[in-house]
Amino acid sequence: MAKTVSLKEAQATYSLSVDKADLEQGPIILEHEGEPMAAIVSIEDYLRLAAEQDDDTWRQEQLQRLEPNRTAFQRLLPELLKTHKGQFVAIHKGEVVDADTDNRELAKRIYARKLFPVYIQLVSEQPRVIELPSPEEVRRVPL
Amino acid sequence: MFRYDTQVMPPAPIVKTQVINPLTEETSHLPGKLDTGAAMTVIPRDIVTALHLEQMGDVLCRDMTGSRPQGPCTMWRLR
Repeated sequence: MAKTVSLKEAQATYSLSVDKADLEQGPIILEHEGEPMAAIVSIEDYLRLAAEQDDDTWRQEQLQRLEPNRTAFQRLLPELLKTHKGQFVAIHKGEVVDADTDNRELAKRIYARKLFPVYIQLVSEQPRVIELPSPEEVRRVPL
Repeated sequence: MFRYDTQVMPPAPIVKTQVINPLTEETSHLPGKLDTGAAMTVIPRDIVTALHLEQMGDVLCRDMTGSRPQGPCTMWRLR
């Protein structure tokens, strides 16, 4: 449950007493003229949020590198569905350079030919989705 | 018999692994958690960076919440 503290004047100096027990109940929301403008969260929550943001930024950067060949794959997909349905294709410089039903064998050949950057994807009407049915939280526990 | 690591909850079978960049043979040693029901193998992003592994594709994942985050895929040799 979030606790809300209203700041009456933007220029005023405030003193706010916060202890760990307060933050275990939830974030403290600071609002000015009825508008939420900041939140005080526990350091654990902050570190988790920062790590999630960092992971997301990294993932987006990695995906960005794939984008030109990924866009080419999407452009070529209607034709590939006629010629390579059910196969994995490797797109390099916007063109199909190799294909195989086994994506590992395909990747090995791409590595051997050093065809980078590359985008390997299954040719199918629906995008491939990996099901993760049983997530579990793994944490360190004191002995 | 695999060694169980009781430092994780729940305890899990752990094996010593080497993750190898097939192109450069750069190698990282790290403990690998065995899960016979796993849909895919994942490695820490620090390893991807350290071994200069090339991104080769992407994958959509759907978990119990139904979300489908898109993640990059790479290839490595596991020993």
